[in-house]
Amino acid sequence: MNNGYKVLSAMVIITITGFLFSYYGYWYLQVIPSVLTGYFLLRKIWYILVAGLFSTAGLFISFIPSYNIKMKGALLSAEVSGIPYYLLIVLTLVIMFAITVGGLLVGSSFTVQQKAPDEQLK
Amino acid sequence: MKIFSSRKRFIAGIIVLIMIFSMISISIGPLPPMNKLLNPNSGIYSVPPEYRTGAKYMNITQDGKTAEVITFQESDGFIGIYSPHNWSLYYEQGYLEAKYRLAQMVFIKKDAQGTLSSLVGKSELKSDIFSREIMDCQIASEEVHNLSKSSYTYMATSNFVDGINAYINNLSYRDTPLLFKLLNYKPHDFNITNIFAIQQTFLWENSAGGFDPLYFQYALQQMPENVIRALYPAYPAGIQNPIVPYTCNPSVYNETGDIRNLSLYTPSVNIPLNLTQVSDSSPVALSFPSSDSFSNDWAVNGIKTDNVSALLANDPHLTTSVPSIWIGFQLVSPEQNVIGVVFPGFPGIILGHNNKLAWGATNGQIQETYFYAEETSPSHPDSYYSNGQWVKFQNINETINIKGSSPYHMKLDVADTGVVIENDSGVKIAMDWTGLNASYELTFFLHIDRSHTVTQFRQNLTEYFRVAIQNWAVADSKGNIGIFPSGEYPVINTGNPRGVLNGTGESNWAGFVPLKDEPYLYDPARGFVFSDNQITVSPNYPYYIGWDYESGYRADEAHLLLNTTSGINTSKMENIQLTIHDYTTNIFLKPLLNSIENYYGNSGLYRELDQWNGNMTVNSTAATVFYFWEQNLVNDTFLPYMHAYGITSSDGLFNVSFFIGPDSMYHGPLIEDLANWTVNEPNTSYFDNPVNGQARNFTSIALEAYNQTVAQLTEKYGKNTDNWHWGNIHKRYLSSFFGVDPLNTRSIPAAGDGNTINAAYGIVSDFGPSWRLVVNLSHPESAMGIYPGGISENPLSNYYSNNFIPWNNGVYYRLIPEKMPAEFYYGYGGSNE
Repeated sequence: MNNGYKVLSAMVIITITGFLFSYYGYWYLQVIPSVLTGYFLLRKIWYILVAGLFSTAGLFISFIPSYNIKMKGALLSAEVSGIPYYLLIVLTLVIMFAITVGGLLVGSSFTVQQKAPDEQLK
Repeated sequence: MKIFSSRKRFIAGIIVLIMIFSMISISIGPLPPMNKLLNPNSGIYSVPPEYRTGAKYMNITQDGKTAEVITFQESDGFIGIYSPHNWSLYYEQGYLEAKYRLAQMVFIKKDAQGTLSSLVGKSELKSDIFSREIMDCQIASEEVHNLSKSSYTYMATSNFVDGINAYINNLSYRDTPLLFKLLNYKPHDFNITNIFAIQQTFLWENSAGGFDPLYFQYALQQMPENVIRALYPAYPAGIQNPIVPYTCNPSVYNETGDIRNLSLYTPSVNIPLNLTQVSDSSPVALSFPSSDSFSNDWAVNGIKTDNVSALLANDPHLTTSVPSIWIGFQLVSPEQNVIGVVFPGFPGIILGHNNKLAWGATNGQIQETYFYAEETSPSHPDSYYSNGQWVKFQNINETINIKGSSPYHMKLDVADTGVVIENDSGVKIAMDWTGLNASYELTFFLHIDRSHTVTQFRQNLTEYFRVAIQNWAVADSKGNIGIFPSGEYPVINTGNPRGVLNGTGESNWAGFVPLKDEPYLYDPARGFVFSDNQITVSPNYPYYIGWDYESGYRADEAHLLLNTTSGINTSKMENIQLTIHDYTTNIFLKPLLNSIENYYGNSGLYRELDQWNGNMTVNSTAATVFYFWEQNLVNDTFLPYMHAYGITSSDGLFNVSFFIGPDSMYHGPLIEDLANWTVNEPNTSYFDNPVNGQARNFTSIALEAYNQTVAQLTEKYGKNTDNWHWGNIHKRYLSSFFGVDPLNTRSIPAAGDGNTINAAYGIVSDFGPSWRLVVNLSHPESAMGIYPGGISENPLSNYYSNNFIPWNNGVYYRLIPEKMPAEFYYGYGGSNE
């Protein structure tokens, strides 16, 4: 597969799985598609980091159906616990980012069995 | 074979994963694990389940029994439950109370147990100490131990508890209350003892007296007798319309009683008081109904009505919280069809009506706490002197777990005069309270839900309701009405119960007022009964029952309206309930105008006041001026007395009503003294300044107070008096039941004040009619009611506070709406009447 298509596919997959796992509450399972995507589709660190951002986009998309209520819940929780509101949101996104990037790093660290002789890892 | 293309990358990835999964799986500081709390689906972002209105049909199975249940959920905060069996009725009630108010119930339970500190930390330690001092759990255990397992009460509470636990045991993290997620708390099962402990805590919160005698002891010790007589008469000064006046029932005034043996103006003991460490009886975290709760209820019969057997109205004044202290149910089985409100954590209905009977309550303001200074001696350790001998205290050891801190250990001392209250005075002060013995008020509620006549109601009342005396107004479909402040009224033979008594035995409780001498009214000739927390009896009642009542102005207004209104119907009852005329304007407005006329007679403000009708409406400037003027009048008159006799903030200054507390304009003696002096003795020497001897009278103080008022309002709201409209300043809001400000509703302009029947106490008020009920006993199915707030405690729900604005606007809902399933009209003779 052309490298460009691999990257694009990886971003789409990570976004979709990020959305699905977040929507249904199994966000910690995002590590599984991340490992697989890293193994088959992504190599460069830069792309891995961008894929992490796409996973947070997937999480954010999962908020859309009930966006107002979810944000109100976050706002109330922040006010009750005395934590800045944006911190809770950022923390949520960082967790998803870290799970995705960690999985991608692990997956991309394995040798792909069939590879072009000139393919190089950074 | 090469496995890793980059070993470093692999290690980095593993480290990242280990770190992130570790961090989100453990609690960091006070925060719960992030993997659950911030879960996009089930954590703080979870969407509350939809509250579907309408009917739902189901079968429930419990302990091998199956029963049909129909529920009907309404948008007004009420849920109807029908079942052909009582066990399943109460089971479903327990389940639904847990479903919509679980956090509230858990907090109430933990307050009753004295374990709030284990949930929220040290801020609730004082409340927990007090719960242990009044032995909620021990008394509850005794009540359950003595409860027959074949009794209706046992059946109702055990199934109620089963319903709660059925909900708890199937509770997902997603549906866990937000506060529990933040506190990382998983609710535990309830049991019957918990329900009776909750009963105990509500009895305390609704028992009048509280710690007032401790604070009043300062006055007794520091003020001379003549000042006590002038400022704090044992029978309120001013206009009074007692609940049970002599003219309506002289039969209860015949006995000798105990009051003539008591010394109500001098201290029984002189002790070095220090109340700074006295435990707070009410939790910081919870907006509880309390003995400072004020209310209205009245009932009229055929003499006053428009071709109707009887009508009843009730609006208990409690903290208007979210979630509400009330939750609404209609309970229908072959034995009952009752509708009304109940405290979460209780089965049955507390205030409401069935197809034959309606009832309501106001706090009786009867003194139910008596305090005793125990005589102790180093040569008799752990003992007190009583009736001529040294007696060992009964010791109870308690441990209170505190979240984030080491446990608190306490030793509770119990004497024959009650429990010793923790204080820093160096004197062991014991508190006797009628609730320190087992009682079954819960049984009372379960029985009256199925009672059909005023007589049956009273029978259950006198048999089961002993503590937290309320003024029960009752009306039945046959046209009988009554008001019954029934309960245990302590009797003592000597001493001054208004302060701290001598604990050596002579002032111990000698018994209670005999039932035949308890005040009551039944079908009085005037055609109505009423109570607005005013004094219970006329001055010649032979027993001492308390002295610190509501000041009587709502009662004066209600008496005037009920007396002068004929052809009363539901609409007129609602109008009386929503009245915002402040009766104190009848007393003080003219004298105020006379006092300021020479100086301000040509001013716009004077003209507004002169033309004002005394209604505390939102667009009235005169209302604002009068309110603050009255406040300044009380301060200017009585603050010098506090200074002269050394009453400080640690003694209760600005905290209790008789020491210019925030409620002194509508509760307690000071405003009544002012009314009495203004009308009868405007030049009394008690207006003089006791600090510097400056001669004063009503006119001089009224003028001074008026100047202060105008200056304060100008400074705070500007010179434009249009900005002084009462609604710009006076607001209502619903405060968080849990004391968490972000969960409050917004505040909105509100009419009324603490002296109007439609009461809104304070400036930004979260205290007022927590429930409104009007019942026509000829057509009880058409009863109207409303409570502010909503069915749900979830702040994200559309039904959290949906009734707030309609309630503030005086809207009433029909409690048994049309188009319910036919079962819900059982006993009412058909639907849609």
